Amino acid sequence: MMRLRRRLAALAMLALCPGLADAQEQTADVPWNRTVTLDQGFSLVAPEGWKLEDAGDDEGDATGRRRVHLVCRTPACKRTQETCTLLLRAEPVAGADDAARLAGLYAEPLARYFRLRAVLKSTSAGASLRSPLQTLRIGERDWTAVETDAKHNKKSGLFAETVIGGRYLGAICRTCETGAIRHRDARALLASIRRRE
Amino acid sequence: MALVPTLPAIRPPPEPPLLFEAPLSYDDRFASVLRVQKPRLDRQRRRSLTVVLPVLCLLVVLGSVSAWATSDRRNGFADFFREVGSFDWLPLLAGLAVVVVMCVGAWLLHPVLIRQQLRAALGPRGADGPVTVRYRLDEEGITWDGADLKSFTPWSFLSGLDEDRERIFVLTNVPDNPFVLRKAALGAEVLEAIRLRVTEAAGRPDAAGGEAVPQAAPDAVRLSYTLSEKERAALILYTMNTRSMRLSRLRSALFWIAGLSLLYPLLLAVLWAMDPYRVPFEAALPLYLEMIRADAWQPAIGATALVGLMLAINPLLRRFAARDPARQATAAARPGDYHVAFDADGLASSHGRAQARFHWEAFRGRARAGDLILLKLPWGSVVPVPARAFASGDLPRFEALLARHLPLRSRR
Repeated sequence: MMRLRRRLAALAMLALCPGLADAQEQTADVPWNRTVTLDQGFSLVAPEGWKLEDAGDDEGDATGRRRVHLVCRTPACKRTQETCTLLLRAEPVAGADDAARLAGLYAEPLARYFRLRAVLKSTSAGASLRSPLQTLRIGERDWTAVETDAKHNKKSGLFAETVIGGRYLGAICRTCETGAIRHRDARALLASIRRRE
Repeated sequence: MALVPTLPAIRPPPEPPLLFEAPLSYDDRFASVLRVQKPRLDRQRRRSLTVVLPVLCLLVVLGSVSAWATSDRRNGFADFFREVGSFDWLPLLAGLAVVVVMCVGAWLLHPVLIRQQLRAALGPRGADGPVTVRYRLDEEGITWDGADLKSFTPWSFLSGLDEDRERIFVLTNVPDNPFVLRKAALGAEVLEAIRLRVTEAAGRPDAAGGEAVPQAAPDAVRLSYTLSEKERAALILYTMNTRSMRLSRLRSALFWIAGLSLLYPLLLAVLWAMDPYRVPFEAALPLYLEMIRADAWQPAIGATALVGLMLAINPLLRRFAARDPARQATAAARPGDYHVAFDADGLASSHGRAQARFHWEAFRGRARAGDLILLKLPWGSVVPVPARAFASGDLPRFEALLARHLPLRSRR
């Protein structure tokens, strides 16, 4: 029951920006290894002050997870309430190389349309597109990314996907920040992602 | 025993014949065919909403639910019922919207399409303008006197009266050939008299017995026949394959190719318009245009292939389509042979007590349909004459008459 309540509370926080510094519950600053290991050989280094949330009953195997949720707990994030969720797919992506595989994800205009629709729906009702679906260089690799702008009191999003060694990784990062510079930590997080075969 | 003298039955004095004139045009002929076909066409039109719409809606519902239920690795009813709350209604609603638009569109367009089809069946209006017809309604029946055609139809061949705002129709036992009178050309008194007489007399048995004999010259080529079911089917097939019908089919094929090709873009446009999470127009439009550029050829090729296949098997479909009406027409035909005589003036015919006289000038050409020789009248009517019915040696005489009075035209 407690777990369910925690998860519901976390889900509510995913989308809502109370806009109050005190709204975020302080958690004990427990030291932890900032390197997070995922399934399929993926790993990342969480930015300073970011915490790994309970993965719940997420399906993973012995080597790691296929879904992780990271939350920023820094004082600056009391206002911005940044989070990132990383998702892996069980099946490899077909294609000659990673660039072709990434391009193949949204080669069709209909696929691009439904991607845009999905990110708008995932952001909140009345959200708009802040940047189009485009290829961005984040760290050492290319990402297909789109940014949304939420209505007041809702979180805006950075939705990015990449393919490394034929394996898909998607990231959904949210923030209450409404200024021109957003998702700085999230980009650092994405830039840190590595994969070993 | 008192004797009561038996008085002879007193027959009311015959009413004087009702004589009047009225014009007859292509539009009148068209209106009469449309009026006769109206009950069947209305049923056909209603079916697009009462049968086709519910069936297509059911198929869309089944298709959407089935596609959703088998996607995302949902296995079995347990997964289905657990996740039914997350069912995406949008594709279903868009599919239903497209089906409703199509069926209501078909219902709305039905009168227009039917008019086009009937005009194709009647053929072009041609150079034949309105003719003034003299009518005589008397105790025996209706005498019709046009420029090149004179006929007498006894009351026993007439089945009733029908009217619309502009015209009055006297229905005969030849379903597509009612007498048609434009009300504006008749006085109120004449109109009322027509209504009264036709209502009273239609279907009345013939007073005189026996069959009429075609009034023709002594050296006329004479023959008697009853059209067989096969010949009626050949006649129907001929009317379904005239030049104007072929053009109409081609137009319909192009319409269907365009319509089916646009179905996919239309579905996407409906999806976008209905979507509560719709992508802003300025972002969606380039994608939509790119999709049309990239993918439009696929539905177009599919539609062209489908329509091409339908056109290819159309002769077979026409043969099937002609069977039923031919059977019905044969069953409903009035018993007795048609008697026909051809002479230098034209054609004289009789069937029971009904008679007609066509001058050669009445015909607009001739054609062959299997064993049938078809003498074409204006505005889609034909007189079918089976070659088998000619006595030995009469066919060459008949062909000589045709060659003299009705030279063969290359186009029909």
